Amino acid sequence: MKTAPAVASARGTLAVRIENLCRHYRMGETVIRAVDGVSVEIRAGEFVALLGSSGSGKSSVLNLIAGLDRPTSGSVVVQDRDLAKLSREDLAKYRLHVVGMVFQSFNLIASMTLAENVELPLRFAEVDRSQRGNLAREALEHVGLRARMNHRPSELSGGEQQRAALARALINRPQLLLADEPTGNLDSHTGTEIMNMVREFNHELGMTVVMVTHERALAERYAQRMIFLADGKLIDDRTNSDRINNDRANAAAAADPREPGGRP
Amino acid sequence: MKISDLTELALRNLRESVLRNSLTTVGISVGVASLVAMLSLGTGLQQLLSQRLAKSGLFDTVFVSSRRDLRGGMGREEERKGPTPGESRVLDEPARQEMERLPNVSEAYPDIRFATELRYEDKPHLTMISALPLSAKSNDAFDGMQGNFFSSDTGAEVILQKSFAEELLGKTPPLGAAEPNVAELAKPLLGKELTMRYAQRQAAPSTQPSLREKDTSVADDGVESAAYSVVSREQKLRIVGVSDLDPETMRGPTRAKVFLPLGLAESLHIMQPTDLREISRAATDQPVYSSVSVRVNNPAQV
Repeated sequence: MKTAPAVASARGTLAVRIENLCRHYRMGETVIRAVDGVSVEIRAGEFVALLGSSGSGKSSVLNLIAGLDRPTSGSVVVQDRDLAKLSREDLAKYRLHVVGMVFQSFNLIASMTLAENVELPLRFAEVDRSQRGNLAREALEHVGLRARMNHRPSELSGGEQQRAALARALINRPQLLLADEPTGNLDSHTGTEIMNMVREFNHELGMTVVMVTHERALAERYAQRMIFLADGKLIDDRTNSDRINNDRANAAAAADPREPGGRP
Repeated sequence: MKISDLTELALRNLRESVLRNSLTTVGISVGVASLVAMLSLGTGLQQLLSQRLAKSGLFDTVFVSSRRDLRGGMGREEERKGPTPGESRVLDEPARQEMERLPNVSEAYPDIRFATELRYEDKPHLTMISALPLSAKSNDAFDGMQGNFFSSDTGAEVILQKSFAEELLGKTPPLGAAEPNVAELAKPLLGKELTMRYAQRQAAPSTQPSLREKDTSVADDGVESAAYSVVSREQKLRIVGVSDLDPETMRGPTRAKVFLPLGLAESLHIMQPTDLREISRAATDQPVYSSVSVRVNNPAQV
């Protein structure tokens, strides 16, 4: 009987190392340099936002980290494994066990209920049938959708669909959560709900989060670090001191028994 | 993913849109069936044509005629070389046997063909008759034949081509009209008798001294006198088969519509056009052939 692996990376260790990453597309005579020599290191437990205008290469970098695409040159090293050198089978296993992904358009399967959608990665991981139902129920409960587990995606709001997508992304307890414009199709209130949930996973599970967004305000509010891309090149990489200070203050308040809500 | 999960998901997806999946299945089935039908038709036609051509003798038979036969010379380079027609070898039985002994030759048989009268129910019918060896049974013209092929090489039997059967029964259709069914034509004819009138070549008793002395034209120059008689004969023939197709399609105007067993035709010593040319040979019992059909084992060896 197989079970879903737990998030194992220790905070602060290197989660992702990108070296001189290039992804070029050839369109006839023209070469489009979607990603052009990007080098960056992401530590375990970090919440990183990839920012840039449309066509800057954010999603391409995310797809390369997710193992959905292969680089033209350079390397993406996750857990000491260079993704460019992995076989198709190993890359599929990497996507299954190491990465969880959330998309702007949710990508839920319309013909399946929420429970079945969330259960799908467990099927791929060959988790025992008797366990799958419970795990899916727990995951949906975690995102507040227990009551909607037998509904189909078309019967849910955008926010609920994205929460279900989050549950599906996290069901196999990945070490890396990749989010491609997760609030792009949502109103600001629902977007905030989703982002709070992502931050909660980042905090509670120590999950490394890489989020693509073009909303700087969103990144400043939630991400610890912001990486700016333009024309496929990395133009800025800065830590978000406000967020880090907030996190420290929150952590201190939580530890102080005199504060309301603090641990006794 | 486990096989059970894969199956479950596949079935579930099929159930999800039954109409679309059914239409897709029907579409694929029709497409594949059409493809298979077209390919089968193509292959079948190709095989049929190959079989027909192979059985027609077009590729495995060589018609050998003597240079002495002055008809139909094509003036080719080969014909200009070698001995003159007069000096050329006669196409007789030893020559036929010699050809039959050649490597890769399966058989060599003479072409016996003559126009004569056949009487059916006391009504005369003039037609071209040809002799066939028993090996001609494999000719695909006899595949759908009504009745049987010759029972033996010397049997007093005859096979009719459909158009002659129509003539015998007075059922020749007008041009453009539908042709009668061969089975209907064969039914009243099979087992019936025909009477063939033919000209038989008989060696005359030329060696009789009294005759030699009287023949002043040849007696003094040392050339042996030769003479033969042509006698009108009759032969009863039983109709054993009626063929729908024409086994002599390639023959053109000289193609026969009535066929006899080769052994019978040879034994009848029927007068042939070559007998007029080869007078000295015709006066003996040794036949001279106008042509010999030489069939080889493999068309590539022709």
